[in-house]
Amino acid sequence: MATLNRRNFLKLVGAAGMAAGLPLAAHGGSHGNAAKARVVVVGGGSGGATAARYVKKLDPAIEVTLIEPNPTYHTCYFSNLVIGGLLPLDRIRHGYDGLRRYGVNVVHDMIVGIDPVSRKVRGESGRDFEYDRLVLSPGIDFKWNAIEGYDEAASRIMPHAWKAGDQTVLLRKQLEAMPDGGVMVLVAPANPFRCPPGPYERASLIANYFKGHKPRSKLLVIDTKDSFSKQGLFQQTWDMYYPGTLEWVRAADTNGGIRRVDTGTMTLFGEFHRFKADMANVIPPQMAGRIAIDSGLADDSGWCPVNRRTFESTIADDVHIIGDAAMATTMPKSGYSASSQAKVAALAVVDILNGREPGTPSYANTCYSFGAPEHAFSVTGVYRLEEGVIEQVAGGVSPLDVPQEFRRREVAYAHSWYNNLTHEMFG
Amino acid sequence: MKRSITLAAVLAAVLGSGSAWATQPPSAKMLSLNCASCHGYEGVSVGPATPSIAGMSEEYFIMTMLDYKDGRRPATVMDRIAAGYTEQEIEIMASYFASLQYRPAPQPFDEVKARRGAEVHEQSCSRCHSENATVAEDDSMILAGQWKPYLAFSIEDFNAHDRAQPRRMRRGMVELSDEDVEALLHFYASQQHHERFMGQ
Ligand SMILES: Cc1cc2nc3c(=O)[nH]c(=O)nc-3n(C[C@H](O)[C@H](O)[C@H](O)COP(=O)(O)OP(=O)(O)OC[C@H]3O[C@@H](n4cnc5c(N)ncnc54)[C@H](O)[C@@H]3O)c2cc1C
Repeated sequence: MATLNRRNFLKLVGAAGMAAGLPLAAHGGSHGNAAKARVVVVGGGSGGATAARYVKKLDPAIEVTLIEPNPTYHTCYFSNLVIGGLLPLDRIRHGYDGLRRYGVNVVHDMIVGIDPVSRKVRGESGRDFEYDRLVLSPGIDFKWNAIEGYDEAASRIMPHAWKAGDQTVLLRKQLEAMPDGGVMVLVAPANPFRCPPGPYERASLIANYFKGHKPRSKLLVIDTKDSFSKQGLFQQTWDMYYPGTLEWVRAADTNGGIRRVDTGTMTLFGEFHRFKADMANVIPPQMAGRIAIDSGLADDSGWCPVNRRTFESTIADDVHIIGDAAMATTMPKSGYSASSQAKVAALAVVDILNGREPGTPSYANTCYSFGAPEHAFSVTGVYRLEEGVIEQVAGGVSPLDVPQEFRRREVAYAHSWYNNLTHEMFG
Repeated sequence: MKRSITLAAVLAAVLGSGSAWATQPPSAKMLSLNCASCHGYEGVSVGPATPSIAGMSEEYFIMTMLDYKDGRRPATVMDRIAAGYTEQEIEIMASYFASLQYRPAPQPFDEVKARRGAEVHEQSCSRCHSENATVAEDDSMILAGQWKPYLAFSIEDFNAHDRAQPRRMRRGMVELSDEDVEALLHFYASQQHHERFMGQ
């Protein structure tokens, strides 16, 4: 016999309430009669903004609050184009007024605690936010010192630029300041991490900048892996455009990549190798955003286990976790994935709050990478739920053997991808 | 493919293993949201190249997706994507997008070329693409107000004989000069009056 836990209890009460045409949860005070239920979304990035918008759109009677510390959001996608000098920073900046216009209550605060029993989250400001359903999309945080010597202070000298904004600007400024003939090292992390093709797109666009502006400079990519996403397509690009400028060093050649850095002498150490650099971009190992870790919502892997049908946490009731923080294997950690998961979760949240069984999910991912300003390629995936697992049923990467016109078209479609994806998130 | 899914549904029901939702297709909303991140919120693309698919005729949507799925139509990415959906799912998406309001793209165009393009359209295209190519009932794409790069790619594919077209269309297209084609693109791009598309 199953015990009647709080979740089952709530479900029973909820179902009975719906059948009688009553609001699911009674709220006193400021919520009045208008608010049917309260959804709080933590994190106003790719996953959170999409989830907030769609919960509100799918059921306007639900009160939706989005909590995000920053007044603007810089997308990581296209930040490599900013770093490569192809776009200005404001091209990847988005504000929250669009979401406000759609009726989302946007609050700038940093959540420091989650109490799933009394169903509230606490802001750094001291304010509490009560919810019936919580959606968490806090992105990633870094495992400082997993590479010895690489901590937050070190990231101001050797930027990661794996969260966009100040770090993007810092890396760009260093590139501009580096003398011609300099050596730059880019450290690529082991799987799993945010945006698997990201380090190689960045390497390509930095090499493109060197070629045009600092032709005697070199970029060394020291990898923690022996293979990587879209590898054939990237290596084809590198042979076409950047021979002599960009060199990729697989993990086997350094016994596992970089283990230690010294920002004082700008040296990066493998087990037996040392690299002296004029500039370094260190992309460290990652984990779910700190709030998820501190609230006990992640497992030993550092990522959050979820029910893939609804993205409900398997650890806490009434909490959905989406985006990079969630374990949504086999989907890659991407902005498009985060948006797709946000839609699955938003539909599930609205179904649950209306006493309906969540429907069958469908997931998708499409990401473009630039190898050069007029040369892009894509990876795509269509996914469905099979026995609790997200299985890829179709997709793959752009073909290798195509005319240049194909790559140019993918540049045009990459820009459309960016515009439509962010328009959907932020209006 | 379709049959095996139906069979699986029947089996699941008969055997009582797994709940019914597991074999039901995703809802129209769920499926169509997968398209929105590239083709735009509610199927209206903000460009610069991906076409809007709101208001597309059901028949044309289904034909297009099946052509992509079976590799009959040249594509950069849509062939890889279409392969992920069953015919039933494609039909569900088709009826959903057909119900959405098409909106012409706000984009620059050249007035002189657009005027010349209107003549080219009248002469060579209007018999099939009726009402200035603003309607979905022709069972082709709505061309008017569509993003120009997309239209240009499509014409390139037709002219390279990569993409199938009615014999009548091929005959008409070979007679067009590069300037005619350019003018035509500007004419379609110039069609930006929302009211012409209402009720699509
Ligand atoms: C260089 C680079 C290139 C990339 N390129 C692509 C690409 O081309 N295509 C693609 O699809 N993806 C790309 N990505 C990946 C994409 O950026 C991420 O996968 C995506 O942003 C994940 O969304 P998210 O919602 O999980 O996290 P984020 O978008 O990072 O959002 C998390 C938000 O939560 C907020 N937050 C965190 N903690 C709290 C808290 N305690 N309280 C309140 N708010 C909090 C943060 O401030 C942030 O705004 C790229 C990434 C990088 C680094």
